[in-house]
Amino acid sequence: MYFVEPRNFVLLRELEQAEKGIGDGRCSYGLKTPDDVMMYRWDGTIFDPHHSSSENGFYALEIYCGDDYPKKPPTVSFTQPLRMPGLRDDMCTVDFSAIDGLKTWKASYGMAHVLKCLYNHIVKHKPRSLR
Amino acid sequence: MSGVPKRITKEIERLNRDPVPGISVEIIGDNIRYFSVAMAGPSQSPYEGGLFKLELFLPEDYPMVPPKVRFLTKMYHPNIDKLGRICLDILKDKWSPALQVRTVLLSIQALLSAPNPDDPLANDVAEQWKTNEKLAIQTAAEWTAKFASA
Repeated sequence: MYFVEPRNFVLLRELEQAEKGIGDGRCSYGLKTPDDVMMYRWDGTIFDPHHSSSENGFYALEIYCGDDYPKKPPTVSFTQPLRMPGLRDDMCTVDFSAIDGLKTWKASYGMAHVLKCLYNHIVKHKPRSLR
Repeated sequence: MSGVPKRITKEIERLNRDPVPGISVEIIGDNIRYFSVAMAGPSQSPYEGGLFKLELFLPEDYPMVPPKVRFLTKMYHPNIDKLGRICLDILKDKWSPALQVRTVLLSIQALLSAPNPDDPLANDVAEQWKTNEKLAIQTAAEWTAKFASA
């Protein structure tokens, strides 16, 4: 018998972590609606290190944590289309297999790690806005 | 860690053999630390007649740390927030390894009978409870009928 923290309690822990603030403040996330008991939909933001292609100096993201989270990764997409490697054909949805640190998903990662990896990816690839 | 601590299996055995009145506990799937709880609203409370769902998890360090537990059913209660999180001292700093899952569930049941608006988790609800208790109790009863009908 191995030890498994159930999805809902993982997400409650991640929510508490987000409310306290994660890392150096360059990334943040929170529930999209405060009464989403099953905690499916989240909003994320990543500081734009280049002050260029983002709106208001931050990239906005939508994060969806399905029933299989954290065994399966969340679905993450930028709310504005960007020209940058590592995105799917819609130029918004993140392709985890193309992002350093996310290529092999681990249940222990959490949304904080996902956003941090995306921040590093943005620093490296300097996206261009398609709007 | 190998196997499930005896403490946990003993607690489950006792909960099955000698259940808490108005409360049923079931293991979810194959995770022996994760439980689905159904709690009947106490009589003489605005939650009477409702059946409330909770989920409870025993963390790796249990019983050195308290169980984690929350309501899944929508509740109108000053000590329960929109995500079902419960403000109860024994789930936080007043936890002691001498307490058990049974004690926790009894305390939560008691909290439904005796809301404590002076130590709120849901501020808007607590405010209503303090300024117009009659209306607050009426709202709680309406929510019980709407979201927790057994």
